[in-house]
Amino acid sequence: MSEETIRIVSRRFGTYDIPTSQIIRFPEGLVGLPEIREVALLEPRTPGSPFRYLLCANQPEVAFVVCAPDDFFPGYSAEVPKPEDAGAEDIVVLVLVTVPQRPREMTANLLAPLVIDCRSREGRQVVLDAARFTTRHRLLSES
Amino acid sequence: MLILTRKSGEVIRIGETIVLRVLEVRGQQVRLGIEAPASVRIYREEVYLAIQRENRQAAAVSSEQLDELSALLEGGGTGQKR
Repeated sequence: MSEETIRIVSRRFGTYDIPTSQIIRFPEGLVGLPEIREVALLEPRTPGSPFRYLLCANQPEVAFVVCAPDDFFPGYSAEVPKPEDAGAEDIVVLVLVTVPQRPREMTANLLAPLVIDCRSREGRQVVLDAARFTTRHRLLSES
Repeated sequence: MLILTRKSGEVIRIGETIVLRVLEVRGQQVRLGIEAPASVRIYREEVYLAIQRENRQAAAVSSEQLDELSALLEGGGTGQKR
């Protein structure tokens, strides 16, 4: 029997059938956006791209670009606090990417990463030290 | 807004589980100690607002921008990591 899927129909981003086992819940929502409760992590549009997409299942016109921060900022994930009972492979750290008018100038929010527990498929946006990280770290070089 | 006056060392209780203690008052600065259940998230206001603003901006990404992003990465030398 095939796995149960949830259909996300988005005018802006298209239609996706996502296995329910791949839906990630954010019980508290994101900081200041409590309505973002369930998301699907979509694979890159370009094979090999470091950017993936979080499509909001309960608000399908909302999506976020995310990336694995260590691709750009080596060692960053190690600084993100994780649940004490979690092993290294249980937790995925992603950061939200803001894409401005000129995509080259996109930035990553290192102040508030997403910490996803793969065991429960639950995530939370945690807040790190504001003296060390900001909401806007450039991802690509200026030139 | 409820307004209470407290001295250094004095406490305000919010419900059964939240304790707010004035630790020190010095000039324009107040040091507060907060005890609350782990489920209660505590943020400095300006940090909360900055993250909320950034989250909203990140959520404003369009499908066209995603395509542009892909093109940017395919564009050979332009996609190099910092």
